[in-house]
Amino acid sequence: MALILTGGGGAMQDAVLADMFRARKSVFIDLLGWDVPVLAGQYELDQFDGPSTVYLLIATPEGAHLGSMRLLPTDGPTILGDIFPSLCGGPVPASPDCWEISRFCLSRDLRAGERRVIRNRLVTAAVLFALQNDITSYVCVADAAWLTQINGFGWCCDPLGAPQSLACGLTGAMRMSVAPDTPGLMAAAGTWLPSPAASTGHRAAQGPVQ
Amino acid sequence: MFIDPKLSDFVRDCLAIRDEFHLRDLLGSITRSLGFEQFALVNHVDLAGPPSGAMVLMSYDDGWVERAISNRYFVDDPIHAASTKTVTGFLWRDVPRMLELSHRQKRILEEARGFGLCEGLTVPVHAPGEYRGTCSFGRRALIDLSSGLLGAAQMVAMFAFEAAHRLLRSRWPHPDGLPAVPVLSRRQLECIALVACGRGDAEIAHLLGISEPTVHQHINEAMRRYGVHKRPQLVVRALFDGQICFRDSVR
Repeated sequence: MALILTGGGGAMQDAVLADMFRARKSVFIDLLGWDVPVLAGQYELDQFDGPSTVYLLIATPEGAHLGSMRLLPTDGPTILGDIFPSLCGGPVPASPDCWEISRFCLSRDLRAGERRVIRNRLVTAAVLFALQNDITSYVCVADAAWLTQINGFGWCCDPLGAPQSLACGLTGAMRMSVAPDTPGLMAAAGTWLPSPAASTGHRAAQGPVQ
Repeated sequence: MFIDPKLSDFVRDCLAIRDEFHLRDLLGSITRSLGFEQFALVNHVDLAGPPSGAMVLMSYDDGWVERAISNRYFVDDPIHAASTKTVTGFLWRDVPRMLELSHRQKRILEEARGFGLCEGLTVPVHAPGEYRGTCSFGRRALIDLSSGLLGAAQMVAMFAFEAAHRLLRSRWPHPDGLPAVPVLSRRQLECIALVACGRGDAEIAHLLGISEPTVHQHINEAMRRYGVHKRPQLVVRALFDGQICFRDSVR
């Protein structure tokens, strides 16, 4: 099921989010070796994870994390604006209708076929969230391999700057447009995959998710 | 980092591509802007689609292409082999450091020089379960791989590949999107990984603590789910889909 949650919430939401922060530690610190802080030896959180940060999750009906991403409006602090502004050839996007996607995370124990399904569910949920909340584009910072995948999801992408060789590898910033024709483009690309909405046990923060 | 207007134009033009001739012209033009003389965009194998789903666009000399085909150089193309070992662009002169080249592979590189392919940069492009290929740029003179060049080549490869893929999809649309990656059990995956290591059924049975007929059954069922009849085909498909990775096959 698909969930949209914010950082501050009730006990049930905390359990789902805690699972997400644990999955993030497993992927970004244990697997990818990122130099980012660990909380209580279990959770990966940074300065962009706050009470009003929006998270999009795909979880089992029992609330176990399958995949997630973090969403930040670009008229506030973002990874692109605060840490990697040099990846943009022009001004860094900063507006309430442009949001940044970061910490795109898939559970490590998913198998390859499942990974693609959860990945597609997440991207679909992100596009639906955008359409329902007047968001017209997403931006992200990603390595070359991820950029290739993102570029293939079907949505219209354009690079914000030329990818650069950084200490962490070839990295670039990309903008992905969301418009009423985006679901059709993604369906043609084989990526469109809506998820059932969460049951009433989980409170959605903004907007229904199909 | 500022994007060269020619690159922005290329990206924008890729989004409005009409057919592969148009894409080939765009690639020819951006290749020269990048400072190269020849290019090759090769979709290595689109296993999930019809055989005609592979796309090759190149400006390589006809004489070289003819020789490569008649001598079956594509079978163990050293550039292709190197491209499976990395996710970012690499220079051809670094290939000997990336893999142990056979005599034949060294000869292939040497012969290519005669056709103006002396120095080159290849960008691997991989979308798991969808396509795997390379975009290569070649020329006679030495290359200075500035980070600007690597980033620019990455962008060209990414957008050119996606344009090619969109063209293929519009030509041969799958009725329900891309065929799903067959779901295989953990045991089936373990067996395939060991087959990929060159193990026989008896060895696999011993390593996994199951019986030989059971191993045979797992592999047959996996082949049935993939719709293939030979084990090497099964291994290739599973690798392509990312169900097993190259590390699995080198134990």
